[in-house]
Amino acid sequence: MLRKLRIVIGILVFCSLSLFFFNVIDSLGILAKIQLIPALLAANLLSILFLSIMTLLLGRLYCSILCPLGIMQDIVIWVSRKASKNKKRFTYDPAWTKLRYAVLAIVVVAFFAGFALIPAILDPYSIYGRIATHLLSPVWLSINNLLAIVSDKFELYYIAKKTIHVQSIEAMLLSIGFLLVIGFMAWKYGRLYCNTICPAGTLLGTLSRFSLFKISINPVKCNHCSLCAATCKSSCIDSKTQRIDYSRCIDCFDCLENCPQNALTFTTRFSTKPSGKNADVTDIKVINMKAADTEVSRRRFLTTGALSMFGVAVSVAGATASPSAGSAGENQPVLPPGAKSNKHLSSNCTSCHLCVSKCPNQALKPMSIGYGIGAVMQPAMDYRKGYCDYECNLCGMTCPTDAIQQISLEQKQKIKIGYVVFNQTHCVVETDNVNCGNCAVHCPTKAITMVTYKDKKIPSIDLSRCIGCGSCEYHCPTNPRAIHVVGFAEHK
Amino acid sequence: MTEPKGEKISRRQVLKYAGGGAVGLAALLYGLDRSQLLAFLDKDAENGMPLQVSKRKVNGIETPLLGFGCMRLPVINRDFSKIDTELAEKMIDYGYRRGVNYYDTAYPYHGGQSEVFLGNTLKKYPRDSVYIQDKMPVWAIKNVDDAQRIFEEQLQRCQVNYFDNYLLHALGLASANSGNPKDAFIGYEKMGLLDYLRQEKTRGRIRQLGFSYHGDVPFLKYLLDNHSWDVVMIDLNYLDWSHSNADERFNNLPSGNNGKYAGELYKLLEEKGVPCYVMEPVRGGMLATLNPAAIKVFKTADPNRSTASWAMRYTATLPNVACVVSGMSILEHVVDNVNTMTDFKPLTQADYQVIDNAVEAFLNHETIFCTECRYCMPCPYGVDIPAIFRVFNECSGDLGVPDPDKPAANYPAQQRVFLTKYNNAVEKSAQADHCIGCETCLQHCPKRLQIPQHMRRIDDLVGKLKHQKEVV
Repeated sequence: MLRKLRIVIGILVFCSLSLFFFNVIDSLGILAKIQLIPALLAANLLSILFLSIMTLLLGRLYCSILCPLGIMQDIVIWVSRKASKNKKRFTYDPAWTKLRYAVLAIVVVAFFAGFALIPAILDPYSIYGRIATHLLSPVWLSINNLLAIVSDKFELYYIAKKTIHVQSIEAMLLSIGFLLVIGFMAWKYGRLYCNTICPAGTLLGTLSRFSLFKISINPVKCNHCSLCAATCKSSCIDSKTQRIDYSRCIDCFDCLENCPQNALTFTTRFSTKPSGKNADVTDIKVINMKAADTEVSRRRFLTTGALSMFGVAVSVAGATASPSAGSAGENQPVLPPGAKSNKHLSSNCTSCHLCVSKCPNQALKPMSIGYGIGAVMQPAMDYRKGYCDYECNLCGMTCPTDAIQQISLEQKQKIKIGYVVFNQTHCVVETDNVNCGNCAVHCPTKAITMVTYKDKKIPSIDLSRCIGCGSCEYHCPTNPRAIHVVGFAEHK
Repeated sequence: MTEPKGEKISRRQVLKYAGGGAVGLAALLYGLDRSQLLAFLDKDAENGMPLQVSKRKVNGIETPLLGFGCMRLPVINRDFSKIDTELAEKMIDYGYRRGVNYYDTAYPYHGGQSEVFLGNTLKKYPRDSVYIQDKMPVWAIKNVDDAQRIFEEQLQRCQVNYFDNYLLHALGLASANSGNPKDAFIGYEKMGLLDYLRQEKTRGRIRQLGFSYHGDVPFLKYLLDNHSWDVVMIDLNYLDWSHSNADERFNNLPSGNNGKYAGELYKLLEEKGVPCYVMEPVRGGMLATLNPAAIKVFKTADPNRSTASWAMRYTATLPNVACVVSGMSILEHVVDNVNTMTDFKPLTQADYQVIDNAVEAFLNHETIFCTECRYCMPCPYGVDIPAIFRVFNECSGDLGVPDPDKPAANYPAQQRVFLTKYNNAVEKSAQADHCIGCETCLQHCPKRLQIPQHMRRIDDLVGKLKHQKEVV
């Protein structure tokens, strides 16, 4: 029963969040705001309190019903279980305490040092966000565009076509990598990522040790058959000693329904006494243990390998990146309104790319490595394919980490995120000898007026009115643009 | 040129359609390429005597109800001075076999090639079996010698020694060099132009003398009161007849030359007993395309009649109209018009009501008169002009174009459909906001649509629609 409830809620959350990323539904942004690492970055007390209380009461339920990456792994595990037929797949594995806390420590240090890239890369919600934005969304959009063609044929006109383009090579490759590695780990070893690397898992694990409700083994009923351990995707049930590692148990409740003795229950910690009884060790079990040992070592090898690969990737990226993050100039990206400054964005954004998915004009794009290692994959404006709509503040409203702050439309319309530069040699007046004025027509703040130049008119810019929305750059007919926006390192 | 493809149309099919529903035939022609059209015309030439268009006798002269206007003949490569003579000649022949033997041309048409073409085409027919109408380009002459030179040149070009009708071209049109139309006319008079032309009439090189008119009512009255004329040619069609310029919805229409007074001009001619020749009966094609709402009215009334046929019948029903001259640039026009004027049936009272309803539907659903000829394309800045206009016009049908300032009851649906269509039919980089107003398209548009203005308006509309989610 509990397991079914967990599955139903999990699937609902997973689908809603995915559809939220795909812009099929516009509400339910709460599912992003309730994610642990973003909530911590945003100092979202309500979400932190809710998650702490939930964990202290029920254990790591977050990992089973709220974390999209966790639920995605559950789906992979479910498929692998269906595919392999081998029911006895998982075995108990001692906790990797040192590794877990080492990773958590690095994340915490990076967090306080204002280097959000580390949490960004490891945060499960953000990993899923990038997979959704860069891998799942194009698939969804293709379906959407097919549906649009069909609905247009029937003269319904409910579905708008959307353009599909690769927004960021870095984010896409990283997403493919993570999908393959985490997918493989889940297929073979269950929730290995969640219990070795995931900082959210480790953090919640420290709390869930003390949770009120726990799964406990009735020592009298239990006959050490180890069926529970075989179904435990967290590898946290040691049926020989009848112990469960509560720091790793994610409340999936799979074991409850699998125990032939009905020895497992989900009850308060006070209702059962911890069992100290040692199990009889038979020959068969010794063999099993040996098998488990080799399995464990292979697993450790794999995880360490994956982690060191990641380390190498980060250091290579760091080495090749120009150290210009934070410095102004041509390499200064135009940050979305609400991002405040280079520093604020780079120390808060976990690159979940929800804003990238949400931007109605597709003006937000993840930054390339060229903007510095601290900024890579974080969102910035790209005015060639779209511009920042004067009447829109969606990115700030949806950002779960507060890297793009929630600002009202009135505030947004006043914040200067950049300033515009006019290069007359590229202007269509010079190149094609025709009058244009498209920049002035589309400037929402009337910062551009057309002034006479020879027998034609060229734009004159009032920088006190320009907010850097990029409408002029987008509407400029020449290539390269005669008018373009340069970002402010700190918004004004 | 006869390609096997042309065999698609068997003689039996031609015969089948020739008598009755030419709408069916016009539909059959639709989509055929040039060689297939030529093959069709060659086949048609083998037929015996087809049915003839109705004739009308006004002031003792009998003319066919349909005249062949030679201002918009088929051309090669969109070059207006290069008439597709092979196709155009066969179109003329097709009409001739059916009694369409009245031809209207003028000095400037097709850069002077219209007259030359007509001369070459008609020389194979007995001179007295055709009526040729030509016009004096009054704006181009400074003295009688000019007039004489041009007149001689016209006779030479047309390879004739007389014109059945000869008109002063476009009186009443205020032009830059002649100023006030009345003063300009008095100038011609003083110059001796009228005397010269009357002289030619006496010599027999002009059978009937008149003028084509694009002016207002008082000036026409002046012309009729002070001189005697054999014929007058005016713009006349139901759209310009039945609505005065007090109707502000007309301000959005590309204007007919003197459309707003057409009814009064006709009545004046009838009163003075001067035969009326009609030009622009389909208003430059506008009354053939109208908009979906108006077409629906016509198709509901009679699915077998073409939309243009209502316009043709409207003018031909007027008793003082001697001949309706239609500029026919494709074979479908010829076939359709010939069919309308064969065994001509005047409009009934019920038919007038249908036209009124259609006009009402037309004016209530604003339309941009783009025929998607694509002459404007490619736009140097990537705007897909015909696609944008199509979206606008499709929305202007039953649903209506949303008006954010005066939202209709079905505004949310209008808004949704307009934005979705616009988004799905026009690439983002080809939408109206990329029009910079360079006006390159203006010189290419045969309908003289103010394309940049329309783009600006549609762009503003889209901007408002996107941001106005809820209607207050």
